[in-house]
Amino acid sequence: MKIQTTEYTIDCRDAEPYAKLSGVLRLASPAAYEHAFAPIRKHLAATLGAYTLDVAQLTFMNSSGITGLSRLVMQARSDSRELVIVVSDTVPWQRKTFGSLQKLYPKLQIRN
Amino acid sequence: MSQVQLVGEWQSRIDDSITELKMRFVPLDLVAHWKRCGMVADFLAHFLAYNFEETSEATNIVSTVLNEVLENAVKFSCDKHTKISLTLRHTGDFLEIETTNVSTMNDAQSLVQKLTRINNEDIEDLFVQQLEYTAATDSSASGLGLISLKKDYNASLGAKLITLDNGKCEIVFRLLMATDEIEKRIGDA
Repeated sequence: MKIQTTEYTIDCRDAEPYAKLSGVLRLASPAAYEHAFAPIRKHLAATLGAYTLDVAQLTFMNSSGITGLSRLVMQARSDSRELVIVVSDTVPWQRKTFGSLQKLYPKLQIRN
Repeated sequence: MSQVQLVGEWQSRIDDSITELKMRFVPLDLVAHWKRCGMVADFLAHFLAYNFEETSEATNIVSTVLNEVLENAVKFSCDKHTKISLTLRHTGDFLEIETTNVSTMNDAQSLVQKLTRINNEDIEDLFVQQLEYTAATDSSASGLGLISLKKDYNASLGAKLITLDNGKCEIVFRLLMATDEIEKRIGDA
């Protein structure tokens, strides 16, 4: 399933535990992210094995989006699901933010 | 008669800016099309980025910070027709971002509490606590923006609160960050 807007793309691969976020995500509130990330939550629940969330090409995300992502991390935590977030060192905002998310779920892996 | 309260790290290191940009908005325009917050942040960041060696990294950091501060000013404007302002100042060593908006007294007091916690508690712990709290509520705001700015960019955050005769509160919010935070990241990358 792929959702594409002029600002961002959310691509959940069929039958594969992999989703990719790219572009610019600056929605107005955590509630707006609940709606935008609903396909990922559903996909996370419907697939098996280590789940990869690739945000390396997400150039901007606001703090409401971090809250939205943290809810996905908590979903994985409540299911004891292995979760890998793929980030990019060349996108300055990403490194520190995702390092802090590991405190929510120590099993969370951050990869470049 | 107006009452004035200073909260957090209310300071300025900028007497004579190299660059100063100021914009005023009707919050309703930004609420109606939220992406305008990002457009404004991107524009100002692109403008400023030429003062740095690595313009794309500087743009990313400055736009991220500006966007958070502007979004807060819009969200916490109680009358979406009353204008807000956004000012960006820069010297060689510091970047200062200032917003003004009028909020309810409740929101002003929430800001006081948040700034007090940000300036007195472990910022990493506060970040995780806020994530856990927001995840469990349906709040329209994450409450995470200011914490992130302190945590990720070591920004000083302060506010001047002016109680108005109509029972509302004018908030002058000020963020100060060392330009080393931008250059250092570029060096680290």
